[in-house]
Amino acid sequence: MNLKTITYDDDITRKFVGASILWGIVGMLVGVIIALQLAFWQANVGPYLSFGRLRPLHTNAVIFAFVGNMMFAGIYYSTQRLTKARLASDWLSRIHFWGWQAIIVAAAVTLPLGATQGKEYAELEWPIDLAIAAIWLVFATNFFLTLKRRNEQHLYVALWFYIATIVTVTVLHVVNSLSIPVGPLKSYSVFGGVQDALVQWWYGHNAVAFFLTTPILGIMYYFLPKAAERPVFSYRLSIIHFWSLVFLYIWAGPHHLLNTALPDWAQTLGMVFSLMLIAPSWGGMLNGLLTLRGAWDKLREDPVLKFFAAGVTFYGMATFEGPMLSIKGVSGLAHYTDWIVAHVHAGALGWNGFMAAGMFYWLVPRLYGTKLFSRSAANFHFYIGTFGILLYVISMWVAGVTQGLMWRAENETGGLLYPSFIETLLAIKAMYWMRLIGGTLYLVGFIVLAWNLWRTARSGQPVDGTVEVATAAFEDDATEVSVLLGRPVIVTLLLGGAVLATAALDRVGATVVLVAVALIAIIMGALSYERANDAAPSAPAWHRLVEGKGISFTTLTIIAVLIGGVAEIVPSVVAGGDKLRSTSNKPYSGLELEGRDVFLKEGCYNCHSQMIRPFTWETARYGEVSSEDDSIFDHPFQWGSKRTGPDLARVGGRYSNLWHYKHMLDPREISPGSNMPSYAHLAGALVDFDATADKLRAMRTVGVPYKPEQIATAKRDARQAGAAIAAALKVEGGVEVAADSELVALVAYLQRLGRVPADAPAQPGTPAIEVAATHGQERSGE
Amino acid sequence: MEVLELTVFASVVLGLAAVLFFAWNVRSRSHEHTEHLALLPLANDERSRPKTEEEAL
Repeated sequence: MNLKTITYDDDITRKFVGASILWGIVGMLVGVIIALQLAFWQANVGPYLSFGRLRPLHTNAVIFAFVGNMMFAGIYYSTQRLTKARLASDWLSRIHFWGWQAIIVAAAVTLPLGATQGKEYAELEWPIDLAIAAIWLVFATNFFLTLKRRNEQHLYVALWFYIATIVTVTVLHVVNSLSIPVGPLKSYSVFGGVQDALVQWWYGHNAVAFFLTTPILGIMYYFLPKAAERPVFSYRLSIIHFWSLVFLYIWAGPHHLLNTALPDWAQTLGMVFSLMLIAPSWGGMLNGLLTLRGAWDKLREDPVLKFFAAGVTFYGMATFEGPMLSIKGVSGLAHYTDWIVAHVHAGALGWNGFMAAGMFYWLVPRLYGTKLFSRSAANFHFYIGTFGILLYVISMWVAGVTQGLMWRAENETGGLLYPSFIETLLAIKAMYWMRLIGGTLYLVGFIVLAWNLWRTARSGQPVDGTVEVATAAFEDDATEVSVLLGRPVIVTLLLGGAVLATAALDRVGATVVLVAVALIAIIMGALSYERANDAAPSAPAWHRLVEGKGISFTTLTIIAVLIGGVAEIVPSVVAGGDKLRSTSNKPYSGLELEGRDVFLKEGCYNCHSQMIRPFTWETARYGEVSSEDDSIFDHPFQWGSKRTGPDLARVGGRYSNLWHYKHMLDPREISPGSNMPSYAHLAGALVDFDATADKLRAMRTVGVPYKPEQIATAKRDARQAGAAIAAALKVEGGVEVAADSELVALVAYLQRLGRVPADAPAQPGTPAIEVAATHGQERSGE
Repeated sequence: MEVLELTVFASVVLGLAAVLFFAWNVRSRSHEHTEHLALLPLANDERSRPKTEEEAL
């Protein structure tokens, strides 16, 4: 056994902490600005800073810049301590840090410019997606090489959560970002319609799970015991917590698509697994909170523990609310409303924000060999932050429930009590102002943190941790292969496989197999129980062996995570080809596709859904229920997740071209009280029809059945269609607008929504009432 | 009805398996290693070293 001194690389932790605080302020400030825009439309200043473009910037900045940098800081600091090893490569650490910051800057530039894939939390265009994959690979390499060089055989529970984060985010990002480039900053998702919806929310939900939750749970398992100066409440519970959480989480994505055109089986799976998630989530929450047993008095004095205790409590609240919102009936009320906004901010501000603050207040004094500059300022941050979250969440709860109830309210004759969408928006306007105040208070608290930690760093000097370690070879309990093929794994796979096989059998066959499985499980359990009695007390248990084997642990984690994703996504992808062959829908024309790209660029999907759910109040307001067929050629899908404005799935033909033109120029002229920004700039922005054929060709590559002759004449056809709409606008209202303007293309797209060309009016600009009558719809008057 | 029967059956099997698994776990003392592993992050063997001028560059 040799002794050697190891110096940790704490410089990289300092860098990530600084970046997280900086981007945290930026991301939250953008959040305050878009909250203001919703309450006060005049705050939409110019096309680059309008709500539709800034909202993705806010979500990306908070998730990937603020929490991302915080996560890297926590992982790098704790991994070195838990493995008793310096990070594998200083170079990889630096490439990781600067590469990630470059990606954030690229996002901050391209999103306001309108370069977006139009998928929530995955808006960044393909070159940036490639950069993310490369930098994530650098991070993974650095992490796993450090594990390989570790001087502590056992992998502590925090490391398991980091492993799950790294492997799962890789899979999610790669699959959901698969797209066909059609320009330097433009691409189309290879998935379309319902498939894209399923893949996107498998990604979107698990971005919450494996980017915002599992790494922070790992951080909780390391930093909370450190701050409380006592071990985690139950290490055994953490084993159950880990495996059940990573296995169940991946199935829950479809709860974002309840009551939509997603097949029922997928909706039900998503709902059931979301409900089951409450068990591991609360197991983890209680494990965190009970770590403070016997140390509750410290909460009075120590701001670090205050933030951790409140953060874990908010995690508990959010993970109770999440499963409740995943019940189809509750989702029917809450989906598309501000209730969901309340839910995510309880998680983001309460869980992520407060865990970050607790970690920073604990870390920075240690990284600079000094004491926290002002404990009272940290306490002030805690109280103003908590008050801010409560104001935010409560106002959005009230807004969400109010609007959800107004949408479904019926009058005595069974019609809509509030047929005008604007009426339901005006009813919650006061809540939008209250949310703005809550968010601003939270931001002020975070700025106080930045100031406090800046003064703390200035009062000390950078220090690196050193430790003396024994570099003896690990006790060789077992090989990786013997652990990987251990009895628990084999038994689980055999029993799971047998249960799955019943899907292919008839009722009698399935019953026989299930009874056999049950008997085998009971017999094996009884035998194991008997055998365990004779086992030597010192014999290491299987899980203990796994904890010492990095490759086996990672492999089992990948299997646990992939099962849910494969089970949900593969059937949908396999069935996709048949659906494409049997559809009665027709692809968008060149001009409509260009208009759709304008719709994406302006971020219209942030406020408008395209999914009419099977409720009477939805069909009365918006028309016939949406089907899978309606969006089969949509790459990406545009079902949306929030209605700040009305649904657009069947808006085509409801209003005249002139109505749309005027509405885009000044929404309030048409809909008094609307908070929609003006899109007058689209009248002056021109579409490049030279690129239209390439776009059709790319769509054809991903399965949209454009004919070669359609592609060959795409440019001419698009120009002619644009000229027809421009001419109709001139006749209807004496409007002069360029035939190749983005506004004309957008009108063409909106007029197409909910209709296939055979239904479309022969002449663009057919009066709305005629077309509405063909759908037998009552105009809602929005 | 088929689904109900299947669900009840699956629940009973899962419940029974969980009880057996728990009993096996307790009997095989597989949990005992956890006592000292929970202490891993609390090791207090670290010292701080200011960065040298060379490193600070």
